[in-house]
Amino acid sequence: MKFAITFTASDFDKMYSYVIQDGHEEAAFLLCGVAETPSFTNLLTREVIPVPDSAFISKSGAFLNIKPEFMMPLIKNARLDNLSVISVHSHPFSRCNTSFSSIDDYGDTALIPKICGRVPRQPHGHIVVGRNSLDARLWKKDQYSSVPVDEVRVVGRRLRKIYPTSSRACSFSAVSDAHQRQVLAIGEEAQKLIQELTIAVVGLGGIGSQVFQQLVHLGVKHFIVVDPDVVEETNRSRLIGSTASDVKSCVAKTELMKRIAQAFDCRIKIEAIQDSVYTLSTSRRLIEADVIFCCTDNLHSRMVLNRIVYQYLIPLIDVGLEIQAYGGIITSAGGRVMVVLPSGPCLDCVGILDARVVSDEISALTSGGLTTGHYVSGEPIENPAVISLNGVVASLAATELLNLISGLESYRTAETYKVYRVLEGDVRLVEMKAERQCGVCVEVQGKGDGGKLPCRADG
Amino acid sequence: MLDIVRQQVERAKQDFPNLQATEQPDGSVQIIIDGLTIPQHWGRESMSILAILPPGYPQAAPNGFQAKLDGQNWSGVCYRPQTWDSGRENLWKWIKLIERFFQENRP
Repeated sequence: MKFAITFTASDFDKMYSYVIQDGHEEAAFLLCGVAETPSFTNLLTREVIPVPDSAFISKSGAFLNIKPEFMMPLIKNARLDNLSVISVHSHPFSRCNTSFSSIDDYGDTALIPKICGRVPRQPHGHIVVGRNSLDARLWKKDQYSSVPVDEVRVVGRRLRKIYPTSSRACSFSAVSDAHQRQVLAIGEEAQKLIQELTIAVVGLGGIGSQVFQQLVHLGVKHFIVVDPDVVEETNRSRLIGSTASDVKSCVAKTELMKRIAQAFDCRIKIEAIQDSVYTLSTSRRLIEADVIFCCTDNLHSRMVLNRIVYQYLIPLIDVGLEIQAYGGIITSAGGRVMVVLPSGPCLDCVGILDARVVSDEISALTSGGLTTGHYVSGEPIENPAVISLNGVVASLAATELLNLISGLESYRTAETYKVYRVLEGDVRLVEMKAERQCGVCVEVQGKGDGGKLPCRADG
Repeated sequence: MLDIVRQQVERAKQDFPNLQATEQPDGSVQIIIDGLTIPQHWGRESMSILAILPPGYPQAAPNGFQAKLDGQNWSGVCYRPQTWDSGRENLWKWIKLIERFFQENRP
């Protein structure tokens, strides 16, 4: 069982700058949604509530006592919205290996039962923050003893993982010789972080298979791969690693990816899901991922994954390429690689999601038909596709992961996405500007399991 | 149901008090309006309407509706908004478009 707390970068900075501001201990509370699977509990920060001086009964260098009248409305709000409560305080003089003191332990014996009594259905937590480190623990629902938090995730233009002092997670596995040259370029810390991430790749066609292959070679060790399809002869010109016997044996694309990964490194762990993200159980399996790549060819899946970004605070790298050709000549072609972060505009706000097309795709799915855009009246339209063009956008997408973990493109201005103009032969940065306020991305932010994903139930 | 959808339902109820909204297990929302006023050329004063807001609404647009055209049985009507901007459009506007369908079409 793994336990995590996830912040957006702005919430983390808000919390940190408040509790570490001078030589005094300071405090704050976090209200969090919860993401829970049988093997993973993740508290998702929705709101940071600093405790002002006026809310303390007493405040000293080593002891904080907060007025009940400050606490009660906060706990009431948590109960109404079914949110977890995390108390945060600082040890301002602690630098490395910040940990809970015996006074903190004693304080928790009084505070935590009160919170658990009022909001019994959620886990609650406590974070102690030092200047360069922190410690964190959770109380699972119905349990009186705490468990250490394995990792704190901070999601922003840089993706960070912080391992609390008492974390049981082995922080940063060793870098293999296979990646020594890469380490020269991106640094050992970034390489180790790559190895710690769980990456989901949704859609394993011409682009997704190349993205996956690059991620394997970059050193990712944990994958969740999702695609409902099997290898077909018409895929082979662009499906990495596919063979004629895969077509004959109707090998699932997910199994093909497993084979690619294990040929490179047999220690790579892959959860292969031969299904689409429209199924609730499948989309819920993505919530353990640190980053999701969307390499599908439809908007319905983008709508679902876009929701996951905000509801579960997981960055999405969305990749697409469209080629229009007539008589063997490309008339227009363009690729797009967009990083969607919980703090930025969503795919709907920037105008990528066309609600009418999404609706058509849902209708086609529920009526047992095929996805529009690629199939009309049951007949597949053969969209033009070229492996090398797919390769350009796949490489740009994989590089966005490096950007997230190491800030590789340090001169790049904020809030941009990449457009590959095939006929012009260039890649441009385009400002990621909201065309509208969809309202959904703001509403669901950090809600976790408290919100409903727009997927069909299983069965 | 998303708050944003709940608010749209409340807003629509102000003008269509017979509106009932029920969330379905698949996340869609079933909207029923008993007695939507329709033009005289339909031979009746009102008609019952059933519209489904698809899972993901408003990021997925409404797509068609059903009506008791014969007064008894639901019939599907293939009619949809020409554009759908999730930040601007809402349930009230969709019902107004359905009203317009009855104004512009004949049985």
